Amino acid sequence: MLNRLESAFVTQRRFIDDAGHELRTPITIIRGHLELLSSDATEREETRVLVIDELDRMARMVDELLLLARAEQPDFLDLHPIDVAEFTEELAAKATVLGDRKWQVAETAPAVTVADRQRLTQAIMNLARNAVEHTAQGSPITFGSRLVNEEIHFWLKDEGEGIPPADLARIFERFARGKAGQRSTEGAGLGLAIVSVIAEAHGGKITLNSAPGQGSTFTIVLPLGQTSVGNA
Amino acid sequence: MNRILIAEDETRITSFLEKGLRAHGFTTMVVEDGPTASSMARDEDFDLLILDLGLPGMDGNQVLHEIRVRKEKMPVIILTARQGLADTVAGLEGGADDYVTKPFKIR
Repeated sequence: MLNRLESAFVTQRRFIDDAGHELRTPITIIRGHLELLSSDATEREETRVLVIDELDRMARMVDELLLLARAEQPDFLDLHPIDVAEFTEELAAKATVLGDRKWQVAETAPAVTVADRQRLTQAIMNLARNAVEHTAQGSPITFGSRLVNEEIHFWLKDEGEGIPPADLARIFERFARGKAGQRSTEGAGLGLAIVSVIAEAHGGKITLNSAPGQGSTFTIVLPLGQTSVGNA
Repeated sequence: MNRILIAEDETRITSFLEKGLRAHGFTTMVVEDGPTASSMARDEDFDLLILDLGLPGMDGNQVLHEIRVRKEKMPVIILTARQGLADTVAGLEGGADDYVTKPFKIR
């Protein structure tokens, strides 16, 4: 009991530490560039673009941190029945704006599940955005939904570089990064942590099957307890 | 006393850092990973190292450790966004001469 408490405390402490670190970086950048701003017109324009970009990054991070904080509250999800087959097609259509990839749907489950449509969409779009970041232009990214025993699986497969075994365990941790220390173009390394908390809030989980050179398949597994099979 | 080695992987930080230091008459050079920082500190003649802790390849504390093990006397200023007292103490005990937390003032 004490060990668990201590471990939770350490995790929380590290999270706050990481959040502070990630928010201080854009503050440092903005401060430094404004402090040294000259009257040169070109430089002013470059600085303006850079400052807005860094502020957008901070705003995204604050949204993500708030979502992670809210995920522990009981009213986090807004649950309604969802037609899984229709929803799967809708997700693939939405994802096309994320990048020039060969988006496709391999299978759809004929079922109705009770879930938070907006949160689930957010989770799967995070997976799709992640897939775009790790694949080349025109590379296939495939969606699917499937009934497996007592579960419904939403899966997304890419043919990107894959994930080394050493990174597999920590990839869903908050502020985890594929390549050590690197600040990605998109965010702070909270995207997959958000997918994980959304899956868990539904009583489900996220699984990952990946190896270097073989692409990655992410699967959101939701329990059938909130699902019904039907001619949806 | 005017050659400064900057070890920092965030280009948006190094860009203004170099600009600010050059405006004060210093010559600067940037390296973006730990192993290069350590070898440059060994092979080249710098008067100061500004060292970020979160470097890829080898973190800043390890770079500092290597430099001090080699008995190099180059002054080292640690640059970090971590503000924990434990980090500060570890850095200073590891042989850093000063500690600057982000965000910081250039002037």
